[in-house]
Amino acid sequence: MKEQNIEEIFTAQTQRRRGINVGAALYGRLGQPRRVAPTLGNLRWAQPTLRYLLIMISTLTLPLMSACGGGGGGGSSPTVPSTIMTLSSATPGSNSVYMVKNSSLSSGSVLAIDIKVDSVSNVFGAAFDIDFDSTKMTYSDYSAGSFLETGGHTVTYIATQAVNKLIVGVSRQSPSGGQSGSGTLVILKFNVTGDTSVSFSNNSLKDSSNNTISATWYGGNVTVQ
Amino acid sequence: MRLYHTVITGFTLVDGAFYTVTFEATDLIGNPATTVSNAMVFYDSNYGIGPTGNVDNTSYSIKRIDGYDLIKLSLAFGSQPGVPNWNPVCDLDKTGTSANKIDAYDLMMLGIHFGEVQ
Repeated sequence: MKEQNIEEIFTAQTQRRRGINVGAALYGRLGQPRRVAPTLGNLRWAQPTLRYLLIMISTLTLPLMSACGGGGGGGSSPTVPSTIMTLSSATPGSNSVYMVKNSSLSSGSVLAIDIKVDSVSNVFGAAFDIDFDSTKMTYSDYSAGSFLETGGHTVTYIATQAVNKLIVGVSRQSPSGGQSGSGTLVILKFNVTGDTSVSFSNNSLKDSSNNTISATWYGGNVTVQ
Repeated sequence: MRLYHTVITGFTLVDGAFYTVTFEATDLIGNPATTVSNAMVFYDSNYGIGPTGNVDNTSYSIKRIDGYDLIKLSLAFGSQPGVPNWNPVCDLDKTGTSANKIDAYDLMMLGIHFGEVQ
């Protein structure tokens, strides 16, 4: 009996999603009233006037909206915002971590930033914050970088936004060793509405013995055009 | 009954090291008691400090769950008692099959608390 009721409720939910009123059927079978949201389909023919009025309003409103709503497009095409990112150093050298705009993943107000390393040795993971004005920029998502995944290693990426900063962790897993060379640690995506500086803090590269790797970290500036 | 005991202090304990703790005793006339020893006593000064997942408590990572904790847990990933990289502090999920093992459940636990500050 219980299974039948559950099945009926499931069927009812399915039918409701399809816009079918099953309130009366549930009332009769389960012996208790079910409140069904008042949609157009729930109105009985016992209320023909109200139903008629709703249909008429729907019928009249759509053409009116079409007729009146198109007047705003006569001027110049709207300006699509774009972002520029400048690095605090033009030439990050060996043993550095820096930011670069990823143009292929950036679009409009969405800015994708590559966090890259240059000529580093034995990197197992990276821990850092990115500081910025969170009234001008908000974190949205990340994409995996290729540097630590070199050789098919499993890499964990975690990022979470706090006030005026993004806390980021990227790490291989034991028994992997560290990775040497240059490449992208992680790609971070933001929604940008205004100009802000972006800088690293609480930052370290760690080797496979959890020792800090000496490196220079370069932030930058984000400008909206 | 009177108890006499001596505790040797002044050790400089090292983070991440395993110690053997031995308890030896004799009664007043010199009869030795059974010696009790545990060779798997792990020392980590970060244990129990800060919110769940705060396995690294070095300068930047004090009482905050962040990338430093992720790296430390990842270095112990896959380990169990008896292997060199075993770190019981990173065993955040001690339930079921995840007990005494650093695995994805511990990683998920850290991820859940990532960014928390005490």
